[in-house]
Amino acid sequence: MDSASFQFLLFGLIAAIVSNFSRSRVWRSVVLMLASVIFLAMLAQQPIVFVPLLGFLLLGYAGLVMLERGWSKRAVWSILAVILVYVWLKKYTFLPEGTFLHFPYFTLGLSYIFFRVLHLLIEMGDGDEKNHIGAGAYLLYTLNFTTFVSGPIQRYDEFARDQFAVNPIPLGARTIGLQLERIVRGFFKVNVLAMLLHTVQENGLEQIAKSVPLEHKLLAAFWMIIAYPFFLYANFSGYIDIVIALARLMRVELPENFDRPFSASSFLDFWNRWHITLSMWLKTYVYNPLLMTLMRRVSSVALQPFLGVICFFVTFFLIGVWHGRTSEFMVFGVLQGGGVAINKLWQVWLSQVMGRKGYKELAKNPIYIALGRGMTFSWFAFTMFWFWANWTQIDTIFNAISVLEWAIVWMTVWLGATAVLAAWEWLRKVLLSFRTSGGPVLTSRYARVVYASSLGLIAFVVTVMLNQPAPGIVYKAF
Amino acid sequence: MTQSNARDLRETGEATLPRRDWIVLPAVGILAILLLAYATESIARWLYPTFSEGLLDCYTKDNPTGDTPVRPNSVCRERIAESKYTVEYRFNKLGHRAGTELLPKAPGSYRIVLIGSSMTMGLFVPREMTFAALLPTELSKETGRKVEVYNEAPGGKFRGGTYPTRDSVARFNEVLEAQPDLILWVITPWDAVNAGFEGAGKETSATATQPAVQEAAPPVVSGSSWDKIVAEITKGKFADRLNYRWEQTRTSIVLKHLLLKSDSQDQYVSSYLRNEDFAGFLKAAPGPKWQKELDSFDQDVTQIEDKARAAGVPFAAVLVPNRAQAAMISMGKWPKGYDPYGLDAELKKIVESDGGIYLDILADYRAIPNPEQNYYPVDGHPDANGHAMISDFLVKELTNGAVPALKIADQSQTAMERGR
Repeated sequence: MDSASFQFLLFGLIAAIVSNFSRSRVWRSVVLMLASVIFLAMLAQQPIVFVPLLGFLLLGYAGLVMLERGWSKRAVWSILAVILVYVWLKKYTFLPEGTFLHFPYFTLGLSYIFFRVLHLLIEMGDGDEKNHIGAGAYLLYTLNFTTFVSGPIQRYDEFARDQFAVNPIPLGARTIGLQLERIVRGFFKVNVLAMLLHTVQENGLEQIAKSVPLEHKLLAAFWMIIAYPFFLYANFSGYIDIVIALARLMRVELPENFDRPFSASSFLDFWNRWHITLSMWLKTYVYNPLLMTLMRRVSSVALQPFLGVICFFVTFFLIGVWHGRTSEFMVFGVLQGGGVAINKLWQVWLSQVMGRKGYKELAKNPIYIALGRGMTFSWFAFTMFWFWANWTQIDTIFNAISVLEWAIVWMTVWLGATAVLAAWEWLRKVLLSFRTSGGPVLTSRYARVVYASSLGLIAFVVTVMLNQPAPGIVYKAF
Repeated sequence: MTQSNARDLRETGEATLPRRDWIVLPAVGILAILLLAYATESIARWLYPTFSEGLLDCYTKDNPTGDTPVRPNSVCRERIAESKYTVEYRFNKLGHRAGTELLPKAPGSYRIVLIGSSMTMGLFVPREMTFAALLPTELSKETGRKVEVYNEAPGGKFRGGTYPTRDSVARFNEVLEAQPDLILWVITPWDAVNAGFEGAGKETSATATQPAVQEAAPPVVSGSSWDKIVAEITKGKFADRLNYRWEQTRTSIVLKHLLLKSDSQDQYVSSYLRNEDFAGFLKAAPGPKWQKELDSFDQDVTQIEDKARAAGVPFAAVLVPNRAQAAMISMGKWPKGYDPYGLDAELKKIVESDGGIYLDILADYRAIPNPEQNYYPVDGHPDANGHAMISDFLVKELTNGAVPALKIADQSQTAMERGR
C-alpha cells in the first residue's frame, strides 16, 4: 500500500468515489479521515508502533494551541522541540545510540509530517491573525493519505481552502479523464520505466565491481551514472502523479512537485523544478529569513551578492541532510549546497565580468543553455552516488577504474547529456508546434486517450507478467 | 507532466465534454490498444522469428505407452524465438542425436556414453555446438588419447518423453549396447525435482514446455487477504485460458526474454526465489516433498549403478545448474534459507554411496561473471555458449583424476602419446 501498486490505486479510487457521494465538506472530511486511518492500519498491524508518531503529532498540536493562545514567545521553543524530537525519532547518527527508543515503531511519512507541523508552527507564530486549527483539521492535514508517504508538501491554507470549501472545486468528466490519464502515466513511470532504469543501474553496479574488460567497465560506469537520475525521477514523479490525481478526484488540488527538471540549464534552476515543494519550503523558511538576517547585519554593498551564495549553500545543504541520517547524506548535502553556491558565484562573476546585459545575452545562447543543461544533469548524477550508495559501494565504484578513465566517462556523460537533452527539447518543441485551435495536437484529449490506453496496456502487461511487488518509492524512506 | 501543463489541464478541465466524445474517446482508446497489440505482435514475430519443420516426423504421436518417443532415422528442424539458430535434429537409426550411427568402438579409443534429458540431447542448439559434440575433441586433446562420445539422451520430458531417470533405467540395455567405457549421466535440477513423477508421457508437447516458461515468471505466493482475493480471481478457468493465450503470443515470449536478459543477477534471483514451487530445490533444508523426490531419485540411481556395476562399466554423474542456480553461484551470495550447492551435495551423497563417481562442476560457475546469460532466459535451457561452458567444466573435472582412465598424464607422457 505504500507504493504505486494496483492495491493502492484501487484503494485511492474507492476513497475518491465514496468521497464524491456528497459535496458536503463534513462528508468529504469524514471520508478522507477514515481513508487515512484505514491506510495507516494497512501499513502496520500493531497499534503500538504508532505511539511515537502520535506523540510527535501531539507535541506539534500542543505547540499550535500554545501559539494560538498568544504565547508567541514560546514559538521558538516549540519549533526547537519539534525539530529535536524529529531528529531523535529518526535516529540521526550524531545522537547517542542509548537515547533512542529500542522497539520497532512507525516512521513512514514522518519527514513529511515534520514539514507540515513546522509550517503550521512557524505560520502561527509569525502571523498576527491567529486562525484556529481544530484537532480534526490538524489530523486531516498531517495524516492525509494522499500526501502521507512522500508528499508533496502542501501548505495548510491551500489544503483547507479545498478540503473545507463549502463549494468544492468542480469535478467534471474532463477533469476525471485527465486525472485517470495522469494515474495511468504515473503507474507506467513507477512500474515500467523506473523498474527498467533500476535494472540498468543495478547491472552497471554489478559489472563495474567484477573482473571484466575495461571497455565493459567504462560502459557499466556510464549506464550506472545516467540511469539513476532518470530512475529516481520516474519513481518519485510517477508516484506524485498518482497522488495528485487521486487528491484531485477527491476535490483537493495538491501542488506540483516536478516541472521537467532535466530541462533545467543550471543547478539553481534544477532545484526550482525538482521536488519543488521541498525546495520551496526551505526557501520560504530557511533561505529567505537567513538572507534577510544577513542583509541586516552586513552593510557592505560589495558583499551583498555573496550573501545569497551563503544562504543558498545553507539551504541546499539542509535539503541534502534531510534525506538521511548517515554521513553519506552529509556529503550529499555539501554537494547540493556546493552546486547551487558555485552556480550562484558563477552568475555573480559572469555578471561582473560581462555586465548584466552581456550575461543576459549569454544566458539566452542555445549552445550555452544546452551545455549548462548537460552540466546540470552530470552534476546531479554525480551527487546521486552519495544518495543511493553507502561508503563501501562508493569506494568500490570509484576504485573500479582510474582517475583518467573516470574523467573520460564524466566527459562522455556531460557531452552525451548535452546532445540528448538538447535533441529532446527540440523534438518536444516540434511535436508541440502541431496545433489546432484548441491547442497542441499532442495534448488534445484524443491524443491523451491514445497514449493513456497504450501506456496502460504496457504497464498492465509488464506488471502482471513480472508478477512481483510494485517497486518501492525511494522517497518514502526519507 | 509539467507544472504549466498541469495548470493548462486544470483550466481546460471544467469545460463541457462534447456528447460525441462519450463514444469517440472510448473507441479511440480501444482502437489504440488493438493497434498497439497487433503492431507489437507483428514486430515481435518479425524480429524474433520461429520456425519448425517436420517435428511430427521426429516424434511419435499417440503412442500407446503415452510416451512420445523419437522416430529412428528422422530429421526435423526448428528455431525458437530466443535462438538465432535454426537447429536440425537428425536422429540415427537407434533414435539418438549422436551425429553418427552407433559404430563398433575403434581399437584403443575410450567411449563415453551420455545419458540425460533434453539439455544433454542439445535442445535448441546446433549439434556441433553441444557439449556432447565438443567433448571428444577437447578430451582427446587434453588426455592424448582418442575419446569418443556417444549421446543417447532423448528429448526428455520437454519433448513429451518420460523423465530421464525412469527413461535411463528402462533403456539401460541400449546404453550397454553402445560399449561404453564410462557412462556419464548429466543431470539437471528439473530431472531431480521430477524423479518421482508418476504421470510421465501423459502431457502433450505444448504443455510439457510450460515448466520452462513458467520458470521465468513465477507467480507470487502470499498469505495476505488481498493476494488471496487476487488468486481467486486469477486462478479461475477464464484467467487460465486467457493466460494460456497470452503465453502463446510472441510478444509475451519476447517481453519476458528482454526483461529477464536485462535483469541484474540480484533482481533475477530474488524474483526467481519468490516461487516456492520452482525454487524449492534451492532451499538449504529440503521440505518433505523435495525429500520424497530425492528418495525416488536415489532408487533410480541405485538401479542404474547396479546395472552398470554388473556390466563392469564405471558410472559418473554430474549436475548442471539451472539459470537461477548458476546466477546465485556466480554472485557468491544468496538469501538466508537458500543454498545453491545443497542439491549438488545431496546428489553427490546419493551417487557416491552407490559406488558411482560424482563430478562437481558447480564451483566452476563461481569464476564466470554472468553465467546465467548463457541460458535462454525464458526457455531455461543452455544456449550454444552455455554448452561450450559446460564442455569446458566437464573436461576439467573428467581429467583431474576423478575418472582414472582420463586423468591427464604429465607433459612428457602426453607428448609421447601424441608422438605415437
